[in-house]
Amino acid sequence: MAMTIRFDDDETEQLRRQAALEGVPMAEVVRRAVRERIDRLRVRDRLLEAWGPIPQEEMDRAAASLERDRSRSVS
Amino acid sequence: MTNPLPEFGRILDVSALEGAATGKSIYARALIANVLSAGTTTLLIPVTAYVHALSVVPDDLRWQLMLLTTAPVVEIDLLDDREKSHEIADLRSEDVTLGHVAWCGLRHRWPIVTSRGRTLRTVAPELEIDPLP
Repeated sequence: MAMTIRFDDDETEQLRRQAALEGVPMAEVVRRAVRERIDRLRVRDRLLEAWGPIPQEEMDRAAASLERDRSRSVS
Repeated sequence: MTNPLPEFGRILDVSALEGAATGKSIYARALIANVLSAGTTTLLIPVTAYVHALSVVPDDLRWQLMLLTTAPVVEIDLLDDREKSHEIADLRSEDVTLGHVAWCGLRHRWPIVTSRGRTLRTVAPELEIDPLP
C-alpha cells in the first residue's frame, strides 16, 4: 500500500541523515521504525497482561528516574 | 552496519530480572514498562545475569524474561571475546555474574538496577546504582 506521510523540515533532515548512516532508503528507515514500535509495544502489552496494573506511584518513580538521565545529559 | 547503543540506558541485574518476573519488585516492572512504552532508553542485560535469573525464576514465569529479550530496546551483553573476559576477570570478583554486571556498568556508564548495589560497589566504587528496595 502506498502512503503519503508529511514530515517537517527537521524530521526530514533527521530521516535523511539516518538513512545515509544506515545506507538504506528513507522509506526503509520508516518501515523499520514502524516494525520496531509495534514489536516493542507488543512485548509491553503481553507483559502488562501477565503482571496486571502497576501502581501509578511506581510508574512515576520509574519515569522520574529515567528523566533524571536526560536532565543530567543536558546540564 | 551495527548502530552504536544509544545514550541512555539501564543495566538489569539478576534481582531486577527476577523481581520483574516474579513480582517481588514492582519498581522493576514499572521501569521496564516505561522503557518499552517510550523506546528511548536501552535495557542492557548481561548474559550472565540473564542465565542466573532464568535459573531461579519458576518455570511458568521464564517466558517473561525470554519475551523481554526480544524487544527492540533490549540488548544482551554477551561474553563473546577474550579481551572482555580478561577485563571482567581484572575486576577480581569471584562471582562471574557480579563482575560482568559491574563491567557493563563501567563500560556504558549507565545505572545498574539491582538490590545489591553495595556489593557491586565493592567491585567498582564508581558504579551508578538504581536501587531496588
